[in-house]
Amino acid sequence: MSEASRLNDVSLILKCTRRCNFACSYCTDRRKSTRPLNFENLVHIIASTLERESAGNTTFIFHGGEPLTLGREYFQKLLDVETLCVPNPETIRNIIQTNASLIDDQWAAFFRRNHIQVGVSQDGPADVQDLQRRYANNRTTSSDVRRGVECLLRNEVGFGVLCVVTPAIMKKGAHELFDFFLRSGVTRVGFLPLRPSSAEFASPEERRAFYKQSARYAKFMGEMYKIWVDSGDTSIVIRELSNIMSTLLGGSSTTCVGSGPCVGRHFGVEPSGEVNHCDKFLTDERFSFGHIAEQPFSAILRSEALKRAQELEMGLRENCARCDWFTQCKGGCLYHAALFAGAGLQDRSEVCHLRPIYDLIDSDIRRRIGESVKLPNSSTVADHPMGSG
Amino acid sequence: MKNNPSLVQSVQLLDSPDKLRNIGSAVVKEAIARAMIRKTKSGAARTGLQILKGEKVPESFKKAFNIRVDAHGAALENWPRLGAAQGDYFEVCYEDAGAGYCECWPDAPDFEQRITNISETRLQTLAGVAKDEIAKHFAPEEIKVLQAHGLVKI
Repeated sequence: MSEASRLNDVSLILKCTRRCNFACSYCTDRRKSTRPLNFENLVHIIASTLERESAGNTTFIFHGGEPLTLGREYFQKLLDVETLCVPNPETIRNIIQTNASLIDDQWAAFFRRNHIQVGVSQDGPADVQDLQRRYANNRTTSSDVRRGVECLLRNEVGFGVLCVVTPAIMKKGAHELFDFFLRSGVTRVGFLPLRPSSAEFASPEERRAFYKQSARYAKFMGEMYKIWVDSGDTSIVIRELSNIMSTLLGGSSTTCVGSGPCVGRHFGVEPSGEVNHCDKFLTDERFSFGHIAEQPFSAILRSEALKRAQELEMGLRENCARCDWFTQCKGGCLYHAALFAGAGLQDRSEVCHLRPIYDLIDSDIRRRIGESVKLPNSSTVADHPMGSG
Repeated sequence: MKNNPSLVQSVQLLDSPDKLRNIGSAVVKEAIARAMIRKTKSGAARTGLQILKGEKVPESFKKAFNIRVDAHGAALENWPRLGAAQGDYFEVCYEDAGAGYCECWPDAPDFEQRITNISETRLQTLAGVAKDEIAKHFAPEEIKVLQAHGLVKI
């Protein structure tokens, strides 16, 4: 795939519904309205996204709330609309993010039949899962989620797990988390840092608490890296660490974090049909691009609002330009950069949770290469004109 | 600022299979091997990675480099083969590995087959919503929405 065609790729996080059968302790996504993204808005967004000028690949990420509460019929119609819209279905990728509590063999067969990739939100062992991810009626969820994951495995559905790294997860420790996912048969895991809302980030005390938490996240991921590489188990992929290794070695990141400018490539769509830059910016007017029913997606891509947001993004990312790892991480997640700038802080690399992880992995790979090339009658890496960095 | 590209360049120091094997962790070795493959594809460097016929091939290597194995997971031939075409290996996107997509997808030897498999499935779906069948799949008010977008003409 050429760079030029990638520039025309877009991904849309569709908040199909805000209804959720869970009430997670850290959720900032709950809203009063539980009306789903209706059929008319769904057709608007799918048709006009797929019909945009010079369209590249399109990724639809079905999000919530809990999207599976909408039932299979909803998603079958959605796929039918996609099929009616585009003659080249291989340019479409569908992903669903679910808490897995409602997955059964019928759902699994549906995902498999329709090539829908599945992301499961799961916070590790039962005691942590049941502490922070309970049903809305306060019942525990771990056994239902485990059954859902087993169902995906049994039906050979490609899936990965996203785990939010809360204080409870860090207390549990990297070893136990790694072993848990390995035992569960999960081979792709993402460990997400907690993200405060803008309001939560408003006071200096809360900011300090957040950055203290970020430093603990970096330490946790550092421990996870050591456990992973020492295990030598290449069957399991830890997404954030894989991406850092890849970007250090000249490759690319598989997620938006580490892929550089994201405004104009990733969008978030509310159940109401409002379009924003990614789902983390739903309440930020600077990154709001209007209603999908009022303008086609091509018009949003050409809009002044989008251009202004892209200029703003460049400024936010430039705050990271002096960092050693800017070439690799490209400013990381824009949401974190926006929070930092909004608080009037100065040197982001001082508080960045990615920097220590890059430091650790870079030095580890250098050490390994250095030791590996120290063969009899050969020069060391330090002697080599390229140096050890 | 650190001289970050030197890590990419220093991969070239691993110019023999022994040196790559000495890296010590299969996870790091695989990441470096991917970097080598990227270099090989661009013609900028040769790969030091080699898997000999009969050697056990890690599952992720098998996927990543399209290495043919027997029922016990052992390589059926030396890899890379002498004079192998660049298209014999391709990089698997971690995110997409399960779905069979990858960023260098068109280079894969079974590219046509993959396209065909996916397209046929989608075509079956399409057949399910062929225009004369449309009313079975959508409610009357939904058909009006589809008509407004020019997606169906009934």
